[in-house]
Amino acid sequence: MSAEENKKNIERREFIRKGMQLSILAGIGAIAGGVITKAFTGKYVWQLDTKKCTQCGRCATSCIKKPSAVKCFHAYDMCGYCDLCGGFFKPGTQNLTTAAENQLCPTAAINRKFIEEPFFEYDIDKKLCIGCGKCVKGCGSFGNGSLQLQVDQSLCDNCNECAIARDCPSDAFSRVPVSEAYLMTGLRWNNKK
Amino acid sequence: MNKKLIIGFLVVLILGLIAFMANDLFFSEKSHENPYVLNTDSLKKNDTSLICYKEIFQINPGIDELSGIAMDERENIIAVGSKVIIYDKTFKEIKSFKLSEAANCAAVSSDGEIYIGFQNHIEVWDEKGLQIRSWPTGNKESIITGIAVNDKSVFAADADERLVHQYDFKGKLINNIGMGDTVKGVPEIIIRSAFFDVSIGRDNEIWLANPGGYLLEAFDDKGNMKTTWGHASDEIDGFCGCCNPTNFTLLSDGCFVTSEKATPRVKIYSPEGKFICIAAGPDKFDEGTKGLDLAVDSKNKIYVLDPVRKQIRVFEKNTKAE
Repeated sequence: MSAEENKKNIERREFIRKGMQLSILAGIGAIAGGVITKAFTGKYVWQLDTKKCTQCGRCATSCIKKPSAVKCFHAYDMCGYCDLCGGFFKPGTQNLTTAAENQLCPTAAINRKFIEEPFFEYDIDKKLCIGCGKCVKGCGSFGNGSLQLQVDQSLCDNCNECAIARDCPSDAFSRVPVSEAYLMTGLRWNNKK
Repeated sequence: MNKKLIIGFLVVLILGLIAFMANDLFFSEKSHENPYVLNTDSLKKNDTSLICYKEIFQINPGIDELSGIAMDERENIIAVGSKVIIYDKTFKEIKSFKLSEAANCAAVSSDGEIYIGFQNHIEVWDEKGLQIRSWPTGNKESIITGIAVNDKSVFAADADERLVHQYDFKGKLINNIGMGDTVKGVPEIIIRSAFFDVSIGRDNEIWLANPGGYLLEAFDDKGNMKTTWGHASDEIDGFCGCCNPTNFTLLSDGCFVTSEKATPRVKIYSPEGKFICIAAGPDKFDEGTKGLDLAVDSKNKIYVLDPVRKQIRVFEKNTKAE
């Protein structure tokens, strides 16, 4: 092997070594960039806008999770603590008792608790709630609208293509930053913003 | 032969089955109904035989924040919101002037002074647009949602304090009306949303709405309760929802005109509180309409402030109803 051929071999080896180094550096850079971008932009999650929601009932039937990851949330600061609660009682109920036939919720997921005359507190049992929104419509139609549908982030699988978002007739679903994962209305929530 | 008959029968059966499935899937209304939907359409319907007023005119003040109306002794209509607009009895605008912030309600004294209720203060203006005086309620959180004036006092309904403040014309607090009295068995006013109205009766009694109790209550000027009427019901003769009536006023014959939210409607009750008829049913208003402020003239025409359509809607007694 001549000296000239030997020099060419060394240059080739040098080229491959430098190429490898550059590739590794580029890989590390891409990973670091991805991590930094993720850290700054945050994760996005599905949520529904209560102002757009029409309580069509599809949150209960379209979600891949059974029962749905959409639940009724209660903005207590907006609640009138009514005896005749439009979210708890079926329209036209004569006797305001907790009898099953009087309750609007198909799964009896709302607990009615006497506070003092004439105030009652309403709590949602998330295990029973199927996210149908019947109570939300009742509360919004007759009361202050303190019952609101929201995606429970602790239950949502955060699918790439949300089945409810696809079926939602009012286009109320959107991806929101995880730092603002709930879009409820109410004094407490509005003050947070 | 038998085979052909069986095949023919099966073909007909399959075609029938396909037709049934297609009808069920594409044309049947029932199959598309979601069992989890609360249908409130029936609440918008009312018995047409109970309607005793008809809409005759709409005034478009052209302001976004339209929240209160009042009528002066010359039957000029005063609309308040981000500004004050005065219309004469032919609905022609005669004066308008801006306010520093959005007003909630208005009343006019017998000498033409316009008393305007704001978040936490009251302003007095003359009809030429000159501010005469103002005074604060003393509570930053106050929400003055209703105001009335008689010959001696100004009555301001404060939805935050759940009281009617009685002031003299210079703004000195005289009394608070509507405080509960456990000894006399008088319950407190229940306010579940910011709707609380006050009006003066024919005998100078002070009527105030107790929307959380579905009542109208009368007090004398010393704050003693005189009488109440009203009940909670989904039927037409009662008040439904969380808190109604939101607004009311009195006709010249002492009958009450009430307006409600949830099922937006305007109804007429006798001086004793007996339901008479519907002035404007829920079909007249957009869904979610609330805060229908009311005024009446000497001919018992009803002026309804519609904050959603941003109009003053004028209703006249239906001659058929007489």
